[in-house]
Amino acid sequence: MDAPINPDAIASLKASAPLKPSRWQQYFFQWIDKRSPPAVAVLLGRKNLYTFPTVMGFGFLGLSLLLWVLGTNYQNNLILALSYLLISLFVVSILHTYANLAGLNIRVAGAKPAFAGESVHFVLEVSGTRAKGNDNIVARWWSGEPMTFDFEPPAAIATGTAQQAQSITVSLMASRRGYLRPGKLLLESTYPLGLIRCWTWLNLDACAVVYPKPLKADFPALSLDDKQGQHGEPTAGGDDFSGLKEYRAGDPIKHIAWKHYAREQGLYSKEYASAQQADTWLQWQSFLHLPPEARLSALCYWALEFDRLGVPYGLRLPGKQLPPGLDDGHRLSVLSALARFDTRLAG
Amino acid sequence: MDASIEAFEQHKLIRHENLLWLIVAQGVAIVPLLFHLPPWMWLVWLGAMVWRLRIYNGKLAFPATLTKFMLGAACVGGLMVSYRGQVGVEPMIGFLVCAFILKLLELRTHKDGLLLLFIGFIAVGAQFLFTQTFFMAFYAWTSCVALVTAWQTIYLTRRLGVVHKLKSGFFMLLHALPLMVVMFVIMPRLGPLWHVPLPQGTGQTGFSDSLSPGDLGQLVKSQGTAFRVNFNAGRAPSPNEMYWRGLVLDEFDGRTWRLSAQWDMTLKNDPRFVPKLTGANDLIDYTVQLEPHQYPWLFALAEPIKVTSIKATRQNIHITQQGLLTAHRPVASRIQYTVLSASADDLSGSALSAAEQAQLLRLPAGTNPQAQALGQSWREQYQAPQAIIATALTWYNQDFHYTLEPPVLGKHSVDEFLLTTKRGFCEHFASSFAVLMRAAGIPARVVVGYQGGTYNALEDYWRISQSDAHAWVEVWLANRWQRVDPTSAVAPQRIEQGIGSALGEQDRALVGAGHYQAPQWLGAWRERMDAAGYVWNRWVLNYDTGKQSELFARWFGGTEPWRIGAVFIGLIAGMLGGYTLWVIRPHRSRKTPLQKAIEQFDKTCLKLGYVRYREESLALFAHRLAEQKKEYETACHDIARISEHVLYRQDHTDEAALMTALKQFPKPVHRP
Repeated sequence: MDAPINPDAIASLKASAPLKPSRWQQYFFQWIDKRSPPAVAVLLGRKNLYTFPTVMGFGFLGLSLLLWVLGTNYQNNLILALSYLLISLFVVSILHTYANLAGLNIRVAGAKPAFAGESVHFVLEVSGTRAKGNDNIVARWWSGEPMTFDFEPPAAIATGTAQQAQSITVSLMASRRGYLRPGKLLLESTYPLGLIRCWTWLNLDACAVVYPKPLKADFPALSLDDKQGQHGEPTAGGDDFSGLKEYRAGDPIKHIAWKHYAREQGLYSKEYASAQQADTWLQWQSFLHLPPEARLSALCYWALEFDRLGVPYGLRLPGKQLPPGLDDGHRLSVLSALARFDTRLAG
Repeated sequence: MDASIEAFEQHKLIRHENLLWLIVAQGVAIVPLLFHLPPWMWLVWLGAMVWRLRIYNGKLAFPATLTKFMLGAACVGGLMVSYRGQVGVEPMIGFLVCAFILKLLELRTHKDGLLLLFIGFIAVGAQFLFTQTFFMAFYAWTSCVALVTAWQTIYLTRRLGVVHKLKSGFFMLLHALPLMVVMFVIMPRLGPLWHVPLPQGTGQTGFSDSLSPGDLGQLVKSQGTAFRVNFNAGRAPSPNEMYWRGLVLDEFDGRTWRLSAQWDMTLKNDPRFVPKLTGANDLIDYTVQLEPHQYPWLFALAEPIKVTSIKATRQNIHITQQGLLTAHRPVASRIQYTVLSASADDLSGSALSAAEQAQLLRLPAGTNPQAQALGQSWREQYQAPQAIIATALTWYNQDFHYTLEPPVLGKHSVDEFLLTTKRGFCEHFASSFAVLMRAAGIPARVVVGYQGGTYNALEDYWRISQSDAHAWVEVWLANRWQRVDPTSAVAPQRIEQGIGSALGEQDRALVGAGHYQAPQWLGAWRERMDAAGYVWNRWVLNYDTGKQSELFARWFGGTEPWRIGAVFIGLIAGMLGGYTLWVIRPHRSRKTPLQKAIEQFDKTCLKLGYVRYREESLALFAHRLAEQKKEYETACHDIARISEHVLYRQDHTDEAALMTALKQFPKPVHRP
C-alpha cells in the first residue's frame, strides 16, 4: 500500500565516518589546544601564527643558489649581489607574509542553522589595524571548503567605538543533525610572494544547530476512512466524508487528500459533509516503522510541508511536546526540537 | 569531487591583469639579452607575445603539446645554426631566452607565472655576463622591481592602481636591500668551482700582436678606455715618462713587426731573468684596472719586478723575460692587478747571448735596401751607438712630419717613408728607427703600448684611452735595454701633452670623434662619469677576498672567523629587529584627525570622571553624560546630534563640525 521509502535515502541519513586528522596533525592540534583554549575572539600574533616556506619557496632558494654558483664561477660580483638580493627578498617576504596575518582579530558572529547534508554558513567578523589592509587570506574549517578574503583597510571611523569589522562566511558541510561544532579554523596566506606560508589553526568557540535532513515518507495513519487518522481529528458525527474532488485553488488546505498526494496520484480535496477545524500532530509514534534518525527526518519533512501549506501543526516527541502553531518562530522551535532530540530517550 | 577541485583551482589561474604585468616584466628582463643574441630572437619574442595576447583576447587557443615541441625544436635548431654548433655562453643564454619566451605560451596557472618570473631573475643575472656597468646594475634593479611587482599581482586579489602596485614592489625590494649589502660585504668569496666558458661576443680591442704601418693610426681614432691606473703611494711619474709597455716585437719582415717565435711569451721563472735591484729608491707602486681586450698581454711601466693580481682567482699573471706582463688566458673580463716597477737605472742585466744578438739584428735581405745601406754607412761613420742614435733623431727632427693620415706605403715601406714621404705616425718612426739601428749594428726592437694618460682628480687616477696608443723603440746599450722614442724627436708635444696637442687641426678631428673640441661642461661631465665608473669597478666589481679583509681590518679590527661571524650575526640580528619594528608593527596604523579628536574627547571625559565604554557610541555616551552633568548638557547634546549626522548623513561638513565640537568640549558649539 504505502509507497516504499528508498532505502538509499535512509542510508544517506547516516553520517559518513568523519575524516580524521593524520597522526602528525593530531599531535600538532593537541599542542595547539594546550597553547590556546577555545575562544570566541582571537587576535592573530606571535603566539598563534606559524610560518614555513612553501614548495615554491624552496624552489626560489634553489634559484638563488643557482645564481650564486653562476656568480662564483664567473667571479661576477653583480650576479653574486643578485643572488644575495633574492635571498634577502626571501627573508623579507617571511616578515611581509607574517605581517599580512598578524594583528587580525577574528570573532565568531554566529551561524545560520541548516539541514543535515547542507553547508552550514558560519559568520566570522574580521577586523584589523593594518593601514595597508590584509590580502588574500584563505579560511577553512578543518574538513571544510576553503574561502578567500581580503580585509580592506578601515576607513574613517566616525563613531569612534570599535574598529570596523568585516563579515566573512566560512562554510562547513553538516553531515548529521544536532549541534555542529566546526572544530579548528585554518587561516593561511602566502601573500605577497607565495614563498612563505603563514598559517594558524584557531580554536573558535562556534556552534550551529543542524536540523534533520527532510525525508519524504508517507504520513502513515492518514487514510480517508480511518477514524484514528492522525491528520484530522474530526468531531463526532461530523465526519461524513462525501468524496474526493480535484483540488482547486481556494480549497481549504486541510482538506487535501495527503495520502493520494503522497502517492503522487495528484492533488485532491476531501469533501466532508461537515468538516471541523482539527489540529494536526506530528508524532514520534507515527513513524515507528522507520529507524530513529529517519523518523526524525520524516517528521522534519512533514513539519516543513505543513508549514509551506499553512496547516498549523504540533509536535509530540517522547518527553517533549509543542502545541500546534504556524509561524516562523514555531517552525524554528519544531525544527530545533527535532535537531536536539536525543534518540536514546525514545528507548 | 572533480568539479570541486576544478573550482578550487580556478583561483590559481593567471588572471588577465597579471598576464599584462608578466609580459611587461619579461620584456624588461629580456631586452638587454636580445642585443647579444641572433636578431631573429626578436621575432620569436614578438610572435610569442602576439600569440599570448590573442589567447588573452580569446582569438587563439593555447598551443598543443606537439606545437610547443615543434616551436622549441625550431628555436634550438635556429640557435645551433646561428652559433654553428658552438658550446659557449651565448648559445646557453640563447636557450634560456628561448625557454623564457616560449613559457609565455603555456602561461596558465600561478605556478607557470612563478616559473616565468624565476627564469626572469636568471635572465637579469645573465645580463651581467655581458655588461657590468653601473647603468646596467641600475637597469637590473629596475627589472627586479618589475619582476617583483608582477609577482605580487599574482597573489593580489584586490584591485589596486599601477603606481600603488609598483610602489609596493619597489618597497619590498628596498626592504631586502640592506640585508643584501651585508651579505655582499661579509659573505666569504670562493674561487670558481669549475671551469666555465666565457662570453665571446665582445671583439678584441687595442692593438694586435703585429704592427704594420697604419695600424696604430686606426686605433687612436677609437675613443674607448684601455685601462685606468692608480698610483698607490701617490707617486706618479711625470706623464712624459709614462710608457706603458704592452708587447715587444722583434721580428721584421720588411713591412710588419711581429713576435719572434722563439722568444714569444717565455715566462720569467728562470732566476737568470729576475732583475737585480741595485738601488731601491725609485720603485713605483700602482694598480691597473684593465678593460677586457681579449688578448693575454697586460700593461706595465718598465721594469716590473713584482705583480699581484687582485682578481687572482681568474687570472695568473706572470712577468716575462722581456719585462712584460702576461695573463695565462685572454683578458675577457675587467681585471685588476698591482705592479711594482723599478726604473731601468736601478737594474743590472747580463749580456745578450749570440742567438739573441743575431735575432735582434736580423733584417730580411732585399727589403728596404736604402735604409739598410744608410744604417751601415752611419755605423762606419760614427762607431759609437750614442752618436748614431743622435744622428737619426736629429734627422727625424729636421725633415719629418707627424700626422695621423700619412701617405700609403708600398713594399719597401721603410725606404719609402724615410726617403720619399717623410710623413708618418708613431709606428712609422718606430719601425724605421729600429730598422736603421739594426742596420747600424745596434740590437733594437719595437715596443707597442700606450703613452701618457689623462689625470682624473676626482678619484685620483689616470685614464689611458685607446688614443694614447703608441709605439717606440728599445735599443740594447751598455748591457741593458734603453728606451728611445723617435716620435718625441718629431713631435715632442705628443709626449709632453698628449696626442690632441700634437696633431694638426684636421687630424685632431679624426681622433676620438671630436672629443677634443667638446664643450667644457661636457668634458667635465665625462670626467665625472668616468670617475664614477672607476669607483664602481674598484669597489663593487672588484670587491674580493683581499678587499674584504682590508675592510674588516679597518672597520672591525681583524679578520678572524669568529669576529666575522659575530659581526655577521650582530648585523643580521639588528637588521631583523629593525625590520620587525618597521615592517610588522601590527597595532599601529595612521589615525584620522577625527579619531584623534575622539581620543582627545575621551581623555577630557576621563578627567571629569566619566569613562566611555568600548561598545558605547559617542551619541549614547553624550546622552548619558548630559544626564549626569547638567552643566555640560548643551555641549553633550551637540556632540550626540552631530555624531548621528556623521553616521547617517555621510556629509564631510558634519565630520568637520564633529571634530570642532569634540575639541571644544566642554564648551557648547552652535552650528552655523
